[in-house]
Amino acid sequence: VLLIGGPTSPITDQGTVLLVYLAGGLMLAAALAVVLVRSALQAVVALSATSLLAAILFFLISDALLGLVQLLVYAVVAMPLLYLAVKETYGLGWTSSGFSSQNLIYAGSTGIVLLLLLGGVALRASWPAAAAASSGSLWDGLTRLYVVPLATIAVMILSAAVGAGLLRAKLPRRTTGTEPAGPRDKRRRA
Amino acid sequence: MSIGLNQVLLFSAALFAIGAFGLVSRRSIVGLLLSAELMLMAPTMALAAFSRFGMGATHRVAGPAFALVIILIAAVELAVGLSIAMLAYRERRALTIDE
Repeated sequence: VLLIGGPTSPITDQGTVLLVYLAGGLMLAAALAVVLVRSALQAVVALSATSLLAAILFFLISDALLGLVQLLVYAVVAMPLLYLAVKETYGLGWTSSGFSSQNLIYAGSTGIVLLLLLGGVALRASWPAAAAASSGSLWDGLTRLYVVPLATIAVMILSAAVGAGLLRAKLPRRTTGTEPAGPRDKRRRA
Repeated sequence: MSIGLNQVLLFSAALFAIGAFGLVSRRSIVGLLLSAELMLMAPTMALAAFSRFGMGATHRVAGPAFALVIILIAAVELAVGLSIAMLAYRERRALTIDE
């Protein structure tokens, strides 16, 4: 697996083709779960599975750098943010009652399928391939060919970080009394 | 049986359609943000596919470079969106868009 780029011919290796179809199908199923389940926490878990499977797809079509960034961004930034937001608002009601044996069976089988998929990818990949040269070419491309988009995205990220920090700092304190109840309050009263 | 540009674009289109369906059908702000994340994941996949299978890219790094930008924009959008959602929740004690 090259870190970036690769041969332009179609993938014909039957094992890799099977893995791509498997990862793609599971990714679409997880994406459907994101929009169909009612629990916010279940939707967050489904989105994390979707992003993991998308990263596996990137690995399989020889864009390991995109797969790594996808994994890092969603695992380090997106999922903790979503988890905290759901915890603050909905109250993680899905997990507060403990795990049922049915949930454990579902989670275990999902984990085994994902592990098998990751194992298949790891067995078929030659990881140390051409990493340094390819990442250097990407950096050259970003800093020479796409200077304006890179500067724009840097300004956007900085503005968003400052804006999110200001929003968080100016949040009013929680008050008690006559305000309407949110989902967490309703669950507590029940 | 082989995997080419069409197959990956099909996955990308299906992912985008599912995200669009969620964006239209969900009422919760968190659900809307999750659906938008799905919709942003789809063009990332399409750009990677165009880069990998060599269709339409003058420079081989063009697709991954813009895909990286999209991934970062998705993370920023999520952070700002969740901040706004938290603010709305503390103001209105509700997370649905019609309350």
